[in-house]
Amino acid sequence: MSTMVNAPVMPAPAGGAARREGFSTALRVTIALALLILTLFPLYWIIISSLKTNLETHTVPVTFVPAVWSLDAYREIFERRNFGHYMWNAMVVSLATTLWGVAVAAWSGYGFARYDFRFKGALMAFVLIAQSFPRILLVIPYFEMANRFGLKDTYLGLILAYSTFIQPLCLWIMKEYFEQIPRELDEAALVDGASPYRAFWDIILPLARPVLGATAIIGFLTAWNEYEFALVLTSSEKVRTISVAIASLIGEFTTEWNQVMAAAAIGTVPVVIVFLFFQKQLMHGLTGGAVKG
Amino acid sequence: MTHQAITRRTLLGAGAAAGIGAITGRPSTLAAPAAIQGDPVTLRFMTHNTLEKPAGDILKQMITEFEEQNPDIKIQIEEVPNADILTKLTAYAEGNDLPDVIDGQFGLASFINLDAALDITDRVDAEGLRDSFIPVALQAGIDGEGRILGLPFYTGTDALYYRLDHFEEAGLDPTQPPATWDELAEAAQALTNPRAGRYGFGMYGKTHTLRCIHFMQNNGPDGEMLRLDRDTGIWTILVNSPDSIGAIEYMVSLARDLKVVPPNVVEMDYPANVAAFSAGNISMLTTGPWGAQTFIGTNPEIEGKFGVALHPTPTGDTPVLRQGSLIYAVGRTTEHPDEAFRFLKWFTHDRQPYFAANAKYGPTTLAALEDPAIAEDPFLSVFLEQSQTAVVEPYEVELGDWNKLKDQFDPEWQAALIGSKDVPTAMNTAATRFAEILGERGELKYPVS
Amino acid sequence: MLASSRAERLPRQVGASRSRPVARIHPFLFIAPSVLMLVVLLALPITQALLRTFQTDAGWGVENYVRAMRDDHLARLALRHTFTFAFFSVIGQYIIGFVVALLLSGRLPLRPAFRVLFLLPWMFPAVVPGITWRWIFDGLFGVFNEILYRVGFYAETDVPIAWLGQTSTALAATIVANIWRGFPFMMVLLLAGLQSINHEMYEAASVDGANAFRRFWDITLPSMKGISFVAILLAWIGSFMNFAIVQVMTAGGPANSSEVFATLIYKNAFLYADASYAATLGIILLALLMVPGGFYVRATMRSGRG
Repeated sequence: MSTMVNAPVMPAPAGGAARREGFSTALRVTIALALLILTLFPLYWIIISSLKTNLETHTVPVTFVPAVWSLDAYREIFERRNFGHYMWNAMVVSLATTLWGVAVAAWSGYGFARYDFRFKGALMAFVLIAQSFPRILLVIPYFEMANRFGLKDTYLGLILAYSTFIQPLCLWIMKEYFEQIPRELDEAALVDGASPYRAFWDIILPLARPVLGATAIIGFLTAWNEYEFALVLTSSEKVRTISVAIASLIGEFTTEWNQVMAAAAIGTVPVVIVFLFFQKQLMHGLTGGAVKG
Repeated sequence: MTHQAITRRTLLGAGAAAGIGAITGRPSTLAAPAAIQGDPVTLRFMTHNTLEKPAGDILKQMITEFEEQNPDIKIQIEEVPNADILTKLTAYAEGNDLPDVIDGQFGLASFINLDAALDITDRVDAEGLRDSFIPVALQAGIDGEGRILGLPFYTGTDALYYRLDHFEEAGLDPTQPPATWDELAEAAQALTNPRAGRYGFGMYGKTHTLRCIHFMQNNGPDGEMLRLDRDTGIWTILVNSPDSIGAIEYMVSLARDLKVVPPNVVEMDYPANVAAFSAGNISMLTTGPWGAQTFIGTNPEIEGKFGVALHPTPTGDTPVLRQGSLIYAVGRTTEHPDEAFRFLKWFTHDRQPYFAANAKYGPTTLAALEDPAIAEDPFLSVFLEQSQTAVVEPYEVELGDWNKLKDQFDPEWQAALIGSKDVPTAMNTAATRFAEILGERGELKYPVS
Repeated sequence: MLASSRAERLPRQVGASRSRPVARIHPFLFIAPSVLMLVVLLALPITQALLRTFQTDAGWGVENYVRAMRDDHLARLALRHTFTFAFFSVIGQYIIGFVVALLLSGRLPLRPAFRVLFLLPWMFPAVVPGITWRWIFDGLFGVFNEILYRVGFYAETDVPIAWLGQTSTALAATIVANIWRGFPFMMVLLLAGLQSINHEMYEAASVDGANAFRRFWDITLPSMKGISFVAILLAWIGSFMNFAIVQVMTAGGPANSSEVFATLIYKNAFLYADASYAATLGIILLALLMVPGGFYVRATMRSGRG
């Protein structure tokens, strides 16, 4: 990790009061751990419940550690239900939507951040409407459109549907960050004779890397989390995503909570893997490259 | 409209009589030549049953068998989570892209509301199927104009499941399950032990609240949600009748005064009650024939530890109960009506006895009743006995707005269970809402002041 | 920096280039991909929905709006719940997100691990947070009640509270779930915002003897204004439209005590097949969201940042 990532908020006291610094670090660690425990408790509960037998999930008093450790739930969802495939589908759709969404959002976000033009307010309002339009109402029109254009039960159909909300989301974020980058930087490039596109590409985009990382995370997770479109726009196993597969475990007559919890647990694994895989870039995105004005 | 319908029904009946016996094998008489040789037709089959245990495996096996015997047809299963069937169905119907065979989990009324089902009256009659179904089961697929829109896959009333082992522990006689409401309350009190997480009786507070009807129906002539006058087409609103209110008051007293129902009853949906019964948190529960296998599937250890008795009534008379059926239909927009019907007929009729005998869900065909696995099943026989007097609620079958009305009843039922409203107030509110939605089609028998 | 000194000599270069006709096309080329795509994908469905709201049994009219605003007791109730849900969700998400972002941007051992772990609530597929919290709060088998027993909140003989089964707590329980689910979003945005603050400003302040609180108050907070605005707006929109958590946890119950606009729209569109009324509720929801959105657009335009 680069050296400039450290502590912009509470820089080390100038006087070298090492003990005070140690105390402050200890305090930060304590708060962080406390919050982390609260954050992770549901995860703990998901994992523990997934390792119980279905019957034990329904015992009173509730057990904090399984009386009988069991992998039945995992066996069941992998053998009876094709969870690996559903995760792959969700991954394809989320990654494609994110790449496409972030690229467009960066390009257009720059335009919104840097230029004044006619109808800018109206166009921004339109993007905002796009972002705020209740998604549930889009489900049926999209189903009809997908049918008409042969996109039903395809990745592309889902990707286009997801773009309607991922893209505005990314756009707002990119625009807001671009506005924080001092204008003088691109102006300098323009004075040197570069086109605005070159200024964007050579100067601004590299500076915006932290934002690209953050925006990509947000876009990816928002897509990964989607349910309603995935439910209606997919009809076969071919394209069905993990969220729909998990919902399928909530049955008419029975809900086997250990299986639901197992599915929830493994549903996060691919995301964690993607994170670890791209950690360098993402962490750089989340921490490094503070814009120097 | 009504007149027309009757004429039509009569004609169809006559046609059916003429057609019986003329047709035996496949393809059906109305069939255009089946698929072009070597190019099987793919049918989209929308279902939630394949997700369930044990029904799912049995149904899948039946599908494989069907494909082997019908090489010109391939079945593509579209599994839909139970809670989302209506969501999918609505999108399909609006997009004019219904699967060839559709799941009627939300009742025929929702098919009618969405115009989702193909009229299969002629096909059913052409093959003389009408008389081979148990009438009360088939009725769930027949609309107000007498058109057959769906065929039943399984059916049932609710009976009382009770834990034999709990009865013994509580000093009750397991051979004498409660038959009257008072006995039910007494037994539930004896069985309840909150410290052990055990409650005498389970109720449906979140979903499947329609099961309240079983108590209303047996509490006097006006114990009902709605009653349809066939001549005028007017729905008489009875949810706030003294009979209905009395029944709800009885149920609420179990929860609030006697506290023999789990304290979180309003968050208990169907699976929660199944789990609670299987795990021993509730000792008595009313549900349909599918209950037995579902309990055992959830907790194999309780096999042999529970019994089934007639649904309790105020005085212990033979209960009159609503019979519910899961119907399947041919999607209105299908391009392969013949093949779709052939498949529908196969699993709801031809092989229904096999399904009923193995899944132990309530049989819908007369042939199934002959099967010793069904006829001699001690649990199923209770349900079959109740079926003799069971009724199909017209609103579940014919009233397109029924889902909406049900959603007016649920919160009031919950409010009464929680105690935020007294029962008469809650039921009067429900009645008012029913009247608002039904408008000219509805009429309050007991006006709300 | 070099750049700033140049810019001082030639102020408002970008603005000045506006006068050249060729240059006028630049902004449109930038915004075109995004705007065009949204127009193509959304103009039709949104227009359709809008038209649909004026469709009634007897032709065209505003009956649907009258019904939603005057007659439908549920719509009013749902509106109140939606505001409550969004308001407390966003406040909770913002405060926790900010605290975590501050912790993560400072000196902290094992920071990369912390960062990933704090993101976990957000990594679950849509239905999972609702399912999980419903299971945690379950009145019979829920671990939350078990914890309350163990810490002595309940006596051994008490009947535990059904958190999702009473009107006074059901909505609050869904808010807890939504905060848990949503704070990582805030955290990511705010963390990136914190990273963008000019480091030198802190150093200068330190030299001037400002303590940590003063530095936070005078530098961090003002610098975070823009991104906070966007983060809050987006979180507000998300919470205002939230469907999955409420639907899975309570489905709007008990006794409509957690009915929100999104669940109401869902019911009308998919359970009652009343598309025009569902669209009407959707347009009202949209209009309500446009109020804070409009402030945002105006603020952006006026601040001259554009």
